[in-house]
Amino acid sequence: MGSRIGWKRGGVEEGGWILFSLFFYNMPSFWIGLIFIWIFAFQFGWFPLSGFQSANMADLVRKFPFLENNILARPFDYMWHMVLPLVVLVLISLAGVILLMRTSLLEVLKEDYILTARAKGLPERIVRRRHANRNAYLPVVTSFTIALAYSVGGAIILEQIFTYQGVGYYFLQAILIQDHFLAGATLFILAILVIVGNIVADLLYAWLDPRVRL
Amino acid sequence: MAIGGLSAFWIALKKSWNLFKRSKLGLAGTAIITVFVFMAVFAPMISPYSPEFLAPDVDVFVPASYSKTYNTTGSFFEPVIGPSSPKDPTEDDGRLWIIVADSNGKIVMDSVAKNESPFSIPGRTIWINITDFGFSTPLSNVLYLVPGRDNLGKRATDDDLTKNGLIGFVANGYFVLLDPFTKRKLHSEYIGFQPRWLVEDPVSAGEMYDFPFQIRNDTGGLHSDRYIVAASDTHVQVFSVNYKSSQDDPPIPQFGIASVLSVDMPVTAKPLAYYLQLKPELSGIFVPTSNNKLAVFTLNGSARFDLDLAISGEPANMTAPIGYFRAPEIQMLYVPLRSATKAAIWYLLPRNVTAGNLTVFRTLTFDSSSSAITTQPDPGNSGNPHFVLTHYDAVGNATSSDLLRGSANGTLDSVLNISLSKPVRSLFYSPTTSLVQALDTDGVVWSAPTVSETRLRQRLINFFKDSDPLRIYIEYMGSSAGTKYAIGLSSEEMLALVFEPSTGNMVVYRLLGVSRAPLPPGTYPSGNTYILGTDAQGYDILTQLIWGSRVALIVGVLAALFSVVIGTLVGLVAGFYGGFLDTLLMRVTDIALVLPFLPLVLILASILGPSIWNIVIVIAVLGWPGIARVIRAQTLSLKERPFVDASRISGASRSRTMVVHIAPNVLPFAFLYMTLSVGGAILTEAAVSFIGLGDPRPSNVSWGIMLRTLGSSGNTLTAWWWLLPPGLCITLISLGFYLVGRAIDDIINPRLRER
Repeated sequence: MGSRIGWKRGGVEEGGWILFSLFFYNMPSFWIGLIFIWIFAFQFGWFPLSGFQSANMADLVRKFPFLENNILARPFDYMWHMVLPLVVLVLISLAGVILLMRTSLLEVLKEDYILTARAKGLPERIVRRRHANRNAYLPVVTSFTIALAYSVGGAIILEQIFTYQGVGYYFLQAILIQDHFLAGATLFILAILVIVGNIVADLLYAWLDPRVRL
Repeated sequence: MAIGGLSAFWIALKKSWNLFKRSKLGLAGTAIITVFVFMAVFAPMISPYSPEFLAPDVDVFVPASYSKTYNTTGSFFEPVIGPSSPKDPTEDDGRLWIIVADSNGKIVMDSVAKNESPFSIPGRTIWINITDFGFSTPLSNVLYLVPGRDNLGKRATDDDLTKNGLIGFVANGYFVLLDPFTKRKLHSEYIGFQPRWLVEDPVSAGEMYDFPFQIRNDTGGLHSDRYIVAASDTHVQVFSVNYKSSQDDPPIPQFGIASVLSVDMPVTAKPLAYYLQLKPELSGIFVPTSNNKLAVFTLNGSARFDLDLAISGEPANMTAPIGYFRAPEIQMLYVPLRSATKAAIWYLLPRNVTAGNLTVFRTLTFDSSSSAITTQPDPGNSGNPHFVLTHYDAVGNATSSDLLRGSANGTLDSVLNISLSKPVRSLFYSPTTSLVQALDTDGVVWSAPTVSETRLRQRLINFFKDSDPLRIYIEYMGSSAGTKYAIGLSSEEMLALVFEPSTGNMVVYRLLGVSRAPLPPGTYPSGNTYILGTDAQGYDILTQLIWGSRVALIVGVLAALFSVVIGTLVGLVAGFYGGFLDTLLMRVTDIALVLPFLPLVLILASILGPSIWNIVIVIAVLGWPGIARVIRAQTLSLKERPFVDASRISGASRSRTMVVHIAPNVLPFAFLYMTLSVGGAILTEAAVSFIGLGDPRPSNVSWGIMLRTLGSSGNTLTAWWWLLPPGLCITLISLGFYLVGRAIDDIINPRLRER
């Protein structure tokens, strides 16, 4: 998305996406979570209000009759509960990525090698994909490592909002009841997740930028 | 030099502003920030209410009442509240019985239980016709003897007489005790007169904090007696009712009743059987009698002492029943008196009734010749005894009355001092809610707090808008747990009733009514307009929003400033000195950078405690690493510039070079990152507050706290006027700082400007 609006400067599309991104970028994750629950789960009733699975499969079957005696009922239930938290988390991270990608692409487009690529008559599509995007991804991936740490924080609060009983949920419970041992243990798990994320990002970086050797 | 520096600075600022002006988004951000700064600075002026303001009860509370009419041709006595009788053994806390007797000999018992609307379940009502037991009218008022509990505080569960409460009455000269639940007659005795007053001791009536003891073997100093006084205008008869068990094994429950006193004497007002099970020597039978005297009998009726009722030497009469404390630890009685020229309340200490030692400890005098006083003890069971009284002109045609509170040292305190436009018929004090409720002669129930805290209702409420002058009796119903004055009742349990004896109309109502908050935006009966509605406690949302901008700006700007200061120092030092120091600082920075930010903030905030200053510190301490990196990179590039070489050649020390030549050049970056991190700090503060680690004081309400209270009050999905504004404000203010940051970024990095 970012590369798209970066590629085509100006116009309503760019303005709209920037506004959208700026808005979501500056929104508190828990608030947008609440709003999404309010709109999509409460007003429209499309998604469950909370939890990560239905307390009673019969209720689920009543809502989705095709799930009766279906082996996929359980996985569907998990997915169905995951939609809203995931959408919120993605929206919030997405906004930052779009903004960064746009900026980064704009930087890259001024480089000489883009000019060279264009000059040698490559189609715009190839220039954009092979030359521009690939280089513009680098700062995005770097920021991904940092964003990961923040995203874990956002997920903690979202788990609370959606009563999604993950590590973050227990972490918060531990903090609120002053159980510092449990809080420490869950923080440890979260920190490991972040570190694993960082390693993945480093590998990705090496794949994207051949100059980087692991 | 200073002036030159200043003007150069001024020119630079002007130039930057000209550049800044070109960025539309930057200007929009500045506008947003300006609006919020304006809100924060002028919060006291522009907010419609003060942050401590609560919507008045007229707006928030609606009465919740349940009514019933008893159809009969006769007239009723005042109802009796019977706390707890385990009619159904599975209900641990039993039920609260409302016992109404009519002059035709019918006794009706209706009940209230937890989580159940009064009168809602048919078939719960117990009807007793005294003719079924062989008695005839006239019928006196009915007493309820609450079930006793054993030494361990447990209700006796064996099939003994203590299991159920008993009712007692006098029918055509017969004193009768019945178990209304099993419909068994336990005792009847001819006493030869029909009493005008039939009273029992307060513990047996469930009017004290303590239960009546029910002991198995009569060992030790416990006396498990109940005292019942029947008095006509000319005769007093006192019974002691005794629940005991025999010495057999297993013990056989025994029920005993004995006449302890039977005496002909004039009785002028309602007697009091003041009986403390643990301190029988302080207990006695108080009978107001003729010639302005109060006769005090010992419990066994063996001795009589007379007190002269007088105010400063003037003979006086009692104007209301004697008041007492509901906590047996405070043995003080209140005797409301009126003489020809004065009214007063005696503080009577029964130091040792058996020895005739009774002292009028203090006198609270009103210099009003024609006032009447009724007292109602405020059952403070702590060391803070008070009583509530009403004071009005009973001789003339009273047009007003006062609700006052007296304290143990013989003065009126300022906590309760309210004028009503009508005399008060009856009143009670409910300890759990700290409310005094009074029924005036217009049939209006007034409610007033006795605790002057901001959270409590300061205004009187009128529960009965369609004021019915016939409802003339009000009583606190209290808890169903065996004594009316239990603590920790839920608002559903706090009931009172209004009764009109001549028609049998009864209304049971909730003391606090039902809260309608959070109120949606609109104008309400008090005339107040809540532009954005109120929250669940009645705080105005718009006011909170405006005051919240203060917290947001303080936390945002301070936290950003501190983290930028730390980050800049670390970056400068690391970049400029290089080497080992650089490696060390940068590794620390790296570690701090990958730590999950919010979880750490939460843990630190939880350890440091809830305060906005702690949140500022935590965000600052954890927010610097990113900034340190950028500043270091900038320093590294500046270090190689010619002017640094020039300064070194001209003999400047390393630290001077760093402070005077490099620091000013990284400052714009520091400023940029500060602007960018303000938004982040505000978001973090909101998240921390939302989790419940924020500053809970109403004057420090932040937008995160608003969302927190929304979530914990359970109105998230219904109160859109409460859900949307705080989040929008957080988004906007954070957006504002972000936009300004981007605009500054464009100025500092000219390379990006052409875009």
